[in-house]
Amino acid sequence: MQKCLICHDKKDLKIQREDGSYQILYVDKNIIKNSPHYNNTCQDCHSDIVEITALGHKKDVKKVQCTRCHYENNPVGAPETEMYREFQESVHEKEVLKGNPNAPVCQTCHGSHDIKSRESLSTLDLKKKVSKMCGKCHLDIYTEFSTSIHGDALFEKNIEDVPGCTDCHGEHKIRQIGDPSSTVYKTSIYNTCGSCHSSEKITEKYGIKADKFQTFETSYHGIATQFGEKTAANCASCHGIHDIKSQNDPSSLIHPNNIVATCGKCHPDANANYTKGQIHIDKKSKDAGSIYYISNFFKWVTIIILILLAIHVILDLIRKIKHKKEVSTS
Amino acid sequence: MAEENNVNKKIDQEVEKRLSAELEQLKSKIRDEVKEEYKEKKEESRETKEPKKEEEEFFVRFRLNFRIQHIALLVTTIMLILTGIPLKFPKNSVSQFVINMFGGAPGAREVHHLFALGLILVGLYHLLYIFWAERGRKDFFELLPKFKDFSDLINQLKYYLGIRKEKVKFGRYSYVEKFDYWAVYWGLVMMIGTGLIMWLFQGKFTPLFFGDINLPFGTEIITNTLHAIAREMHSDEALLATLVIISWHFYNGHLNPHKFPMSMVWLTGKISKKDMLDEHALEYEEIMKKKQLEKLDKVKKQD
Repeated sequence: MQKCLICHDKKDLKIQREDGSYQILYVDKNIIKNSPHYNNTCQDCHSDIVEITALGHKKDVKKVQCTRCHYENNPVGAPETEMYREFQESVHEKEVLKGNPNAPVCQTCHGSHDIKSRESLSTLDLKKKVSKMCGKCHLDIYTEFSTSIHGDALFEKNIEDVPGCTDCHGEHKIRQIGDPSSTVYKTSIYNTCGSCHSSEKITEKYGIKADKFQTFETSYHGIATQFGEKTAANCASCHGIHDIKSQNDPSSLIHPNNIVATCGKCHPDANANYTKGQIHIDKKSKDAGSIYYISNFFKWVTIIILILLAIHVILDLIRKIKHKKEVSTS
Repeated sequence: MAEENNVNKKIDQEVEKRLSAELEQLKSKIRDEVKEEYKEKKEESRETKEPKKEEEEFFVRFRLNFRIQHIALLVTTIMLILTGIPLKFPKNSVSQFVINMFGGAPGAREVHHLFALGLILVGLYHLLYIFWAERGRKDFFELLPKFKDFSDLINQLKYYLGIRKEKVKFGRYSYVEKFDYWAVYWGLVMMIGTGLIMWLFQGKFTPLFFGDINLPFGTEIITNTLHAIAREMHSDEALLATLVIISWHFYNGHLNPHKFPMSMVWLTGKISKKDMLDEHALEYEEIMKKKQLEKLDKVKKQD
């Protein structure tokens, strides 16, 4: 380490890239000393730098490969993790393999010399930091998200249960939206939303209605979704994706002024009649009005009729079996 | 005297001779008669033991027109159940399999709409049938519930419980069959009514090969609430109807020991004399009375 710092301790050490910008090569040794890697030497990570002469070292230094140490059963005692394997299936790794220079690798999100352990930050700060991290590349989505009800709750109201980017998209195994194994795929997104919106713990804490998930599942949109119909509306079709807003917000997709247009995205014939009455209907709750009573009426009619028919069928069966025995014995 | 005695003896001998000859003849005659009688008896007993099937008497119960209506009804109903009921149980793997067979939810929906149209046509045809066809009108009046059906039900229950010894005599349609008929009637009105509300609200019909047809005026009248009510009723009534068909109709027509594996009357339209006496004794008596009257009329005309 000492040898490297002869040059890299100089604050004005930099190199000009091909596009004219400068890459700062100064390394603050205190940052490394405070990171979990304080015990490692420079060449533990920058392993492709072998020869160091008085003039320095080779210029085409490769990106550091974290998986040199971070794999299962590694002998150096680095934290064992399966994350790198999950990352290999992610859309980010796919882009890396395609040769996209902007595609993120481990250090893009985790930092390089200033890497910190997850436990060093509170859940809230971590969520904020991670979301901002994603926003560095996905700026449009980040601005959209920060004005949504979720973003507002995270950044303004400091609520730690609110979802950041990774809560819906996953951390290392982020998939493309068109990948059926993605957590935000058309037919899976309702489960992802449901993981919070059907949780009694969360919905009770913030006074949100917990029936939205279950009422979607029993609606035709929900049923068609469960049978794999990709054109059926899911949560995001009506409520928005990153721009989810309260229905009282005039810019919300489900604000009374906008809801007909929202239905109209799929149903060109939609008119005011589409919005008359409840959308999320829970037939087991009295709030559903007539549907609660209709469903109960049919439930009891079905039970009573079937019991009566079953009694008749069983009596008839016993009688006929007896009759058969009588005939065969005589 | 001696001569007289001789003559008498000869006469006696001659009489005995002739008598024995006559007796022999009579004996053989009687034997033949007995033989024949015995043969006849044997044949009779054989006939009662193994009735020849060709000679069994049959009655026409359902004519071809009615049988075709029934087949159309059962085909449309089965297809509607297959494409409809699984939607009530989306998490069930059997449901998933069945719906995937129809090409997922959109395919199942179009097949459902196609057979719904079929069911509507069957229903309308039946309405015409009971108005215009003589047989249809007759059957319709026979199928109307009467007081006798309630007393029949009570007597039948008594018979099941052993309180009543003799069988209940039913007419052309017993209360069991009347229940089946009116359950279908009620079911058709409910399912077609609520189904049309949902269909018009969606406003589209895509029969498999003919492209999109837009259905008019649905969204002008139907609100989201009305659609939701129709959907609830459609779904609940569908389950009720399916369960009744499985428990009631399948038992009475297929699974009970007298019919298993099934009664052939829906295909052949014929019912045997034995089944007729067993299940429709009153109708049988009526038919027999009519036949006798016709015979009498013929005899009178001939005279």
